[in-house]
Amino acid sequence: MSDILKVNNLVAGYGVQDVIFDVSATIGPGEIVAIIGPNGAGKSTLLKVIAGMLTPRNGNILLKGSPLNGCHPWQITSRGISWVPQDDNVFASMSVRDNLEMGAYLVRENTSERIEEVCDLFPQLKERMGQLAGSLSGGQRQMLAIARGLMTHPDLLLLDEPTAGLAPNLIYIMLEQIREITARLKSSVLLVTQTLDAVRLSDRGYLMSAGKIRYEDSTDKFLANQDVKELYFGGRVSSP
Amino acid sequence: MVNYLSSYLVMACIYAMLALSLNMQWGYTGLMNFGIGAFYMVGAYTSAILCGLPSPEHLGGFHLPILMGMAGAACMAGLIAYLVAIPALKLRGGPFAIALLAIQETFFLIIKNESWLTNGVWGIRDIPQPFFSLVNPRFYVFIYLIIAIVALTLTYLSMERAVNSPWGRVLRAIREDETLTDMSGKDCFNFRRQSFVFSSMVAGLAGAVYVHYTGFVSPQTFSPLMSTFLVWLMVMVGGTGNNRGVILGAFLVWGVWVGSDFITNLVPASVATQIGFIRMFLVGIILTVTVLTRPQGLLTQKLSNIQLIEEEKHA
Amino acid sequence: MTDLVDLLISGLVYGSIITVGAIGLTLMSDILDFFNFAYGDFFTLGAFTTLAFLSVVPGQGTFAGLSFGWSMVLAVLLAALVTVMVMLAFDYLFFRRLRNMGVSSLFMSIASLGVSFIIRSIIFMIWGPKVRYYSSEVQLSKEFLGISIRPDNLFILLSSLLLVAAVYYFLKSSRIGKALRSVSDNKALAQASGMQPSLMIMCTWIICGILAGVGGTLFGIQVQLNPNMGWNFLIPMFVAVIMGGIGSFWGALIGGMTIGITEELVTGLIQNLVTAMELQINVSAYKPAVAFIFVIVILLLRPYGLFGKPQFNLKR
Repeated sequence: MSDILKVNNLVAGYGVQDVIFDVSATIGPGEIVAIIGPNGAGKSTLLKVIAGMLTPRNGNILLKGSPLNGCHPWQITSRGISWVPQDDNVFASMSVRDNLEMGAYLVRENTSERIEEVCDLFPQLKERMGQLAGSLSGGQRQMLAIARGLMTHPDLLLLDEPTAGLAPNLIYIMLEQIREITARLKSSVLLVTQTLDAVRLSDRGYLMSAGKIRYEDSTDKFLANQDVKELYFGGRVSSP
Repeated sequence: MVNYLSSYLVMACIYAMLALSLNMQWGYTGLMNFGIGAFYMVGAYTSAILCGLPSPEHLGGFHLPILMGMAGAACMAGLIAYLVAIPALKLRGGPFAIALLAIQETFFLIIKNESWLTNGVWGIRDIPQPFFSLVNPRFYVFIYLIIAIVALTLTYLSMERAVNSPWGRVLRAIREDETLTDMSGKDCFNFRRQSFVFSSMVAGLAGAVYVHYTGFVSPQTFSPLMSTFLVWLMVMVGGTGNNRGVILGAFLVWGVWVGSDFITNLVPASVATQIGFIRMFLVGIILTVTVLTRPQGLLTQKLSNIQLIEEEKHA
Repeated sequence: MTDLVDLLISGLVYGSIITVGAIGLTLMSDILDFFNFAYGDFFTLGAFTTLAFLSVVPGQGTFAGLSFGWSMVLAVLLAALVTVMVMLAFDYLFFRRLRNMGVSSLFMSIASLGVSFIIRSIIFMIWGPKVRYYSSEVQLSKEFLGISIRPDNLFILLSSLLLVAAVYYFLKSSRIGKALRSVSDNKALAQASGMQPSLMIMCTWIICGILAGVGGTLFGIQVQLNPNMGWNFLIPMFVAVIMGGIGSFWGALIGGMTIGITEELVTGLIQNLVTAMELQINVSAYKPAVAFIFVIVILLLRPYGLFGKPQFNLKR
């Protein structure tokens, strides 16, 4: 049981409709795993289920071998999973410092050291400590959201479209930062993305469409695979 | 005994009309009207002033025919609803409820304080009763029961007709998802206002039916508990969004209310003074427990397609 | 001129009591996500439990020109405790279940209306419909810094100021307070950050219970006690909340003070005008209507309140 997270035959959805069907996936320690897929494939839903924001209909989720079924979001967070949603991912009416403190709500001790540490990782946040999160730019806001997620030193960081809405040059910087930080904190990352660069920076990739995992492989093979090209990139991808 | 039963039925019919009116607002349009009693009161006083005998103490005594009084009551309640709707319908849910609560409070204050208009707390007497001279006063309640039943039946039929028409479907769509309905090209504000005005007219009519039954009207009858929250209890017990259910709810709740009168006669006087408070307590308990056990009431409305979509959105 | 100052002072006093209530109500409406129509009756409960404790705690008599003694402080603290306990009991009995059922906030409001009747009827049964006072002392105004004010009113002003400042400090600086603010800001993210909803809801009830217990007592000191006092106080409190914007601390503060001052000033000035015109209209009878007209004007100008979050748009 060396996997950080193991998802078995997960079924979940909203109301009467299922959105993801029979999804199974694993994430190893220190691994960065990307999930790509078209809009509405159920990627974000999968993250929500893992974070406990949505109760699965069927299947189970194992964190370091122990099941997470029936856990509240706060319990899941306390057990080492941090979720960074795509929209509304900061407390807009609170200062940057307060946002970070709220990220460390469950940690209680040495909050200020952790804030220092996060500031080392994201120097841009340091000079904006007193500013309201709602007044940050898109890129800074995304950094704050990730920084907030890292305050607990999670075993697994769930990132929902961390590069959405960022300028192309910023996307690359952001991804580099994610890679560097998680290596330093020894966290695994599961990230949902639509960007090819994000897949390149990952260790492994899952292709999801219409609520099912269609294909999974290490990054090199993943990008070279003909199915992925056709299903997702429309066959227009150059080999890395 | 039969007399007692008949007078119970007359009042139950009047309350059923109010419950239907509230059901149109809350059950079909989603307007949380905590001031339905204001329109009931306005209707009652309008008809009393229009049909009453001349009096030096207050305005009125136009001694018009009773049918004109009833029409006037409905129109006045409708007019006030139309004016109230302009600011109040900008609000939804809780804030709307508070605005209407405040409107009820304001109207109550006006009726109580402006004695040139309403004779204040002393109330208006000698309001004519239809066909009163035809029969022995002892049996008059039977005549009036027929009038009340006719009024209730007409209200029920027009309500059913309204809510099952395309117009009613738009109302339900607004209740479920206003933005979506707005985007389908319906002017939601207008539809909500039409529903609000129409049902307020029904409440006004109920007020007129009430004054011509008792022949007397005073502000005490229209305390928020008696004129608004009892009606809410009827709608909640009877089933939100179900016209037959709320009529049943009105007869049931009014039955319990009147039934507690009997208890007053049985218990010693020291306890009897507490009866009013025990009634209030009962209203609270029944209201809370109804929401807790059957938020949809006795006769549950069929789960519509629209509700399924709503569920999905909230999950 | 002195007339105007008097009106202004009574407006300030009345407004400060509204503010104490409105801050609790705005927090509750935001975090519990429904309009609690029983809140006013918790005010009444606070006022009457203070009355009950007043006769048993030590420190009777009068103090520093006030119409009551040290016993009042002790009694208020006990009353706040009782109010909190009763609130938590009602939450456990009714609101918790409704939340677990996933009932919509409108139905929650209707249930709270039921709770309001339950509490009020119990208060009626215990204390009866008679009007009561904390003290039979008649109070004369005293000069403070050239302004004549009743010591009781000064006490009300200062203690509500203290209470509001304490709540502000709590929300601004304490760990739980910040957590409450984060829940009010973004419920999903707050949960994902580890805020336990049941704990947050309990904290909200506790803060609101303290505010209702103390606020109710202050209201009782200012006028008199009767079982309908809180219910009648509900409209100005809600108007302050709606005016300030749901969930906004500053909104509730400014809303509460504005309504208090406006009600006193407007009714007072119009009364003067009416008397001058020799009309026989008792304007003060229409005091509650002033708050109502006020909220309509505000909402026509700003549909989500002065400090409200636009996304709420009061569509709840």
